[in-house]
Amino acid sequence: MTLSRRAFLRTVRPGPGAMSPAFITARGREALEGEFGSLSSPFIPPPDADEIRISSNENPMGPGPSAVSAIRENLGESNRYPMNSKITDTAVANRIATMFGAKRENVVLAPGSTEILRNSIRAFCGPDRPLVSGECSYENPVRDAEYFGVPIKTVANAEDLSLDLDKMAGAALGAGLVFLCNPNNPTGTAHGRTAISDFVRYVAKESPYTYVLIDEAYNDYVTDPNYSSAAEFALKYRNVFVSRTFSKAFGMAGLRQGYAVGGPATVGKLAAYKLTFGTNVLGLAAVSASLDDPAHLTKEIARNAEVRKYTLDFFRNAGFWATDSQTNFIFVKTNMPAKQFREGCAKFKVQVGRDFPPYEKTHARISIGTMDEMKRATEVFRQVLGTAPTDADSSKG
Amino acid sequence: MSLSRRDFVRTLGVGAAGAYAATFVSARRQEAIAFAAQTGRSVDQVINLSNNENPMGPGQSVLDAIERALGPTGAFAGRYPFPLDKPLHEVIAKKWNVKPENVMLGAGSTQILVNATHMYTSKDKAVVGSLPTYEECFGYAALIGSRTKAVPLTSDFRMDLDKTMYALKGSGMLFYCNPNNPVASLVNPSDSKEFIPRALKANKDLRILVDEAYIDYVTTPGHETMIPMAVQEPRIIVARTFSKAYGMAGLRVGYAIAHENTIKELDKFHMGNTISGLSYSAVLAALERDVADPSYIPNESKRNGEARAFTLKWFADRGYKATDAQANFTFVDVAMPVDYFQDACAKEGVKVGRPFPPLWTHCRISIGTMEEMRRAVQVFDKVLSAAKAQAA
Repeated sequence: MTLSRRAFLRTVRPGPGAMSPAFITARGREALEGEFGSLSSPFIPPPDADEIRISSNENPMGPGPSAVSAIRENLGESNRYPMNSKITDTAVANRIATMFGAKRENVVLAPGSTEILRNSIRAFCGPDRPLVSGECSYENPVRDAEYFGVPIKTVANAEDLSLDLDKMAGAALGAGLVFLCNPNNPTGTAHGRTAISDFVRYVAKESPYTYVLIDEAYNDYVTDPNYSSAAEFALKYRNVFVSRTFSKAFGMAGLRQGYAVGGPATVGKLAAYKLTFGTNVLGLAAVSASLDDPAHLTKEIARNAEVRKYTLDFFRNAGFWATDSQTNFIFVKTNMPAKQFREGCAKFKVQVGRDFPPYEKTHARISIGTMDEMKRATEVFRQVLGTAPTDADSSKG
Repeated sequence: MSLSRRDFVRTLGVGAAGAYAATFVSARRQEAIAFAAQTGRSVDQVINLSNNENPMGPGQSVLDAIERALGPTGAFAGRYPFPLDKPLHEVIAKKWNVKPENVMLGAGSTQILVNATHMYTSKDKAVVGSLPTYEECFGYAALIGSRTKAVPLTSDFRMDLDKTMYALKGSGMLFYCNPNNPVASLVNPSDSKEFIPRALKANKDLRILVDEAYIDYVTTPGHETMIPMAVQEPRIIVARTFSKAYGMAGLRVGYAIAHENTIKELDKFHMGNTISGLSYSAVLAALERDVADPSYIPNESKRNGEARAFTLKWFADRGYKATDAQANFTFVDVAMPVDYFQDACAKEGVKVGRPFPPLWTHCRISIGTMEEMRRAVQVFDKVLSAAKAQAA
């Protein structure tokens, strides 16, 4: 680590634009200190400078200079409730609505999209109105449905591990809610605009009381030109809504900011269940600033795509199959139990993803860190996978 | 912390040097500009006394901790705060000499109130609270179709324990907000200590949720937290927040302390991952300060107590009746419709509390800095005099 903290402060403080290149190469001890180590608390374990955390689909770059400046500028708002702070929750909701050409009543904020997903189950499912989800998809809605006593219909993923939209459309008839994670976590696959358009039109026609929640946590990272956000459908169909988070491309997993966009009646039902004052004022300030800095997002998308390609090339060249990832993580057929792979990598201080049934015996989810981190991580993968059989010829998962 | 409490008040008052004071003054000034723009008044006349916020903010050491956590790059904000969850449970447990298993964190105590109302009320098992009280439990109960029973206050605006005891029969949960928002009153400490065990004994299925949001501002001798009772008795839950004396309303952190079986029960419904990493860092720093500087929160209480006494005396001297305020707000009978009072004060640049039915002539006025209260009472004088003149 050659850059001192002071040097960092100099590059960051002046404002947007100055940070990224230095930051990419310098992330290590300094960055980790910025993560969990420098709280001056006797209760916090010191950071491990060598650890690479690629287990939770976080953005290693953080929220970027504009957002970080906004947080610093708004520290003095910490004592104000989000309706009294300089940047209010209402202002942020309005700002988001404007982005979609929509109105305030089309948007509900949440502390991360977690709350949207949970409240969707509460608002739209019931003992007679099941939840439909992909078998290998983001697990929270299924867990919430279990807690609230909602029947669950899971649909096996397609051969390429993408969500099987045809089968999900069949399962949707009579359901309360379809959870459609697009791109899908943990498989990284995304469906294009036409497929989603056909799906929502089919459900609206054949099962008009079924809601479709399209979770777009990872949408900014998609590079497939056939993809586009389903927000247009959320504003067109009464029963369709979209959830978003600032945890991924916007780099704010720690700030707990997300939202849903949809018709006023749908959004109103979600809003009824939301926590009072759920969003913190520093996160709101960060969101507001980053929405005004689209160039930063563009840069982050390109950075991720480059590192993702590097990592996928590594696996494919080594003879391992991986899904067509459109996100900030990849899903690789390592041909060994995820637990074994995970524990093997952890010995080298590389933290990778948890078990994802039904593929936990053969596949691993690996988040995309910085290029520097992935160069180090792939060396570890090479060692851990050294003895595993490869299947270069296999075209399926 | 190099600036003394006295210096803080002074710098906040005049907007002078000091990084902390400067941050705060500049932030509050911007808020003031926005409000002033709405009211068409000059910035220096705008004061927010509407939401029981702490005008002093969280304190320099806490703001420093947020800055440090954020680090030079801000990469911290990109990480889920999971690694801080266990340490914060441990630090809170240590503060109260309980186990981490006795602690549940929430996005403000709001989330604790929601969790308890969800778990312990239903269409058959009512939530009982005073009328008025903090609305979260009643509001959530209405949302999920739980029964609600609201008990009128005594003539001196305290919770009516006799009537409450009557209402508890067959009920699921008592929301025991003490000091009580919005009326600011406290139940006599010895009455509380006697009432809570008696209520539990008489009602085998009853839970009592003790909301101690404002406890740091209590000046009544002998008042004690119910935390020790809660860790022994599985049917008591104590809710705490960092929004008031700790000055972090915008950072959204609160917690519950209860018996570990009760925490486990609440945890089934609890939604995790609602608290910002920066908020974890802030709260950890504040709790460290509690150890390093045990006088910090008592000093904040003293500051508030002085500004509160000044405000109450001003009203009393003019014949307006107020409750015995034990919080960072007062509850005053302004002898005119409170929404008129609110609008008239807003036009003069002072934001006061909204109406709290059914007390249509009482206004909840939060306590700002002494300087703010000196300016605010001039506005109250003008508004109340005009109303009197009109009535005469």
